[in-house]
Amino acid sequence: MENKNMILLILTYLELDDLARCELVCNKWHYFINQDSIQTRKIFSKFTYNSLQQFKWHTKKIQQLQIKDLIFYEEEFKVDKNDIIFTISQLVLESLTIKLNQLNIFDQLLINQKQLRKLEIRMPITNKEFQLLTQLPHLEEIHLRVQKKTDENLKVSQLRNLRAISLQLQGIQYQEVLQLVQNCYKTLTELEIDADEYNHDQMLQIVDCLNKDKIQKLYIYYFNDYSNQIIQKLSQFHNLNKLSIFKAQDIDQNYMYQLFYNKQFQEINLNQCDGITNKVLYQIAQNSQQLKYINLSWNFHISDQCVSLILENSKQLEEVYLIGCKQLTFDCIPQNLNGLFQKLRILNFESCNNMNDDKLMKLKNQFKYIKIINYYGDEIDKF
Amino acid sequence: MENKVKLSTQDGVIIEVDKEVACKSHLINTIIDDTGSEEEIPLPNVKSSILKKVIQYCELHRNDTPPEIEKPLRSNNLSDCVEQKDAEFIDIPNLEELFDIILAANYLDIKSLLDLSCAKVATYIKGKTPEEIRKTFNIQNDLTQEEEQQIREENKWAEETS
Repeated sequence: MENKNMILLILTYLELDDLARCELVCNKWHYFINQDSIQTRKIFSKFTYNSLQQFKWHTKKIQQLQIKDLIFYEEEFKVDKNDIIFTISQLVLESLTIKLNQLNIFDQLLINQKQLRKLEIRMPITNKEFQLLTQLPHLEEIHLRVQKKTDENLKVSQLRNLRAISLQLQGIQYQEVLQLVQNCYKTLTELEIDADEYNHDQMLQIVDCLNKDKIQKLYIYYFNDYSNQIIQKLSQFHNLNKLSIFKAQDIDQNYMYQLFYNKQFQEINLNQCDGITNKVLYQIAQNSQQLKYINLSWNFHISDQCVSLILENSKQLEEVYLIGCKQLTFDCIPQNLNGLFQKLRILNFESCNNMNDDKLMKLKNQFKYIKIINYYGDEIDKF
Repeated sequence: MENKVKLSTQDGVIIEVDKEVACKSHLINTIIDDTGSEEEIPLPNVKSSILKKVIQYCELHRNDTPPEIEKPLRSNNLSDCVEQKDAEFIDIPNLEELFDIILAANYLDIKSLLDLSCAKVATYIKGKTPEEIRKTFNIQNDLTQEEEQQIREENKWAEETS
């Protein structure tokens, strides 16, 4: 390969660590990677800094890099605080994901990041730190994904006009969440929320505060107190295309039917829901041209025929979970597979007693790129 | 005959293709715009075997434009990153042929094919050690020991492949 531009184009498809290894291949590649080539590129949509060496390599070689999504996890390595602060202050970030357990540098990291649009925080955060977010004028997406419960009552209601909110963090007071959602009424299109601490009426109030015309994505985790009334409210969100209502129990099929009536979904998670009958599934199948992800695990009232119809109609499908659907047989796979499963990556039949390995193996042979999971939760191998 | 065009290749073979398909190539499109599609279009830089592959690709996308491939690649398996038909098309074990396709796509100005074939080559590099890369691409290591040592020192962090 002699052509410099071709090599540079090839290199744009690689991660930083690959580039670093490519430098050792030969003089020419070393030269390419160190010359003007990389400096002006805007190539990495995502990368993870895992050591100070990588930081330094990066600032040395790629001066004008614009990073869309910087993922920064502090791990066990020893790093110099100032080095990190300096390096990040050199970058123009649109999106930042951080997990800093030991280093107390949150405030300094954000100083030069006025253009930040998305921030994902994976560590406990104090109110003092959280307040800094109000000074980011372009912030439109906030994700709090923290394992530990917050020590203090996090004043999330300080933020306004966000487009996407994800609160996977226990211990935020319900009033704060409600106020935050109200603050974002005009802008909010995506909400993800851990709701195990909320009771039925509180959830109903949150749902009431959402904009019926705006909401496109709603993921509710660990909520235990669903009712027909809540599902009915959700069915009025006519732009909804991504929905997760894990464990929505005691729901009548007619309410579920209304929820999916005449809507084009991309993602649907109905793991362990009640009221998911063939009538509901048939409605989903009617409008499943855009469907990418569907989880129907532990639903015992759906037939092979309806599942087959969904697989047939959804040309965009990427992931299908049918865990624990004991009634399903191999007949749920459409007979004529011509043109189907083009994008499918995962097909999960764990704990489905009637799916035998021989038939799944045949399917696997036909579609080698699909990860097929059998009754025992094992991946069907090629051979 | 109006919707067909004749392409003549480096090795003197003349291939007739639908105009619509041939115009996936920016170069051919421009030539037809300038001079019409009556005359043979000479493509002195492309062998007939490669041109046939390129036409096969254009046929695949007769009715669509493939979406841009995400950078950097998510996986070494191109089926995770592009449409299945494209992943199958570009699954060419012979590197020389693959490079010929890259050059042809570049010359004929078919951006999506250029991207696809370059992404394919990238999968041969991703996650590999420098030695493995040299072997795959038949490259001589012409770095001096000192240079190699110095680069190695700077790039230590990248040595463990994940």
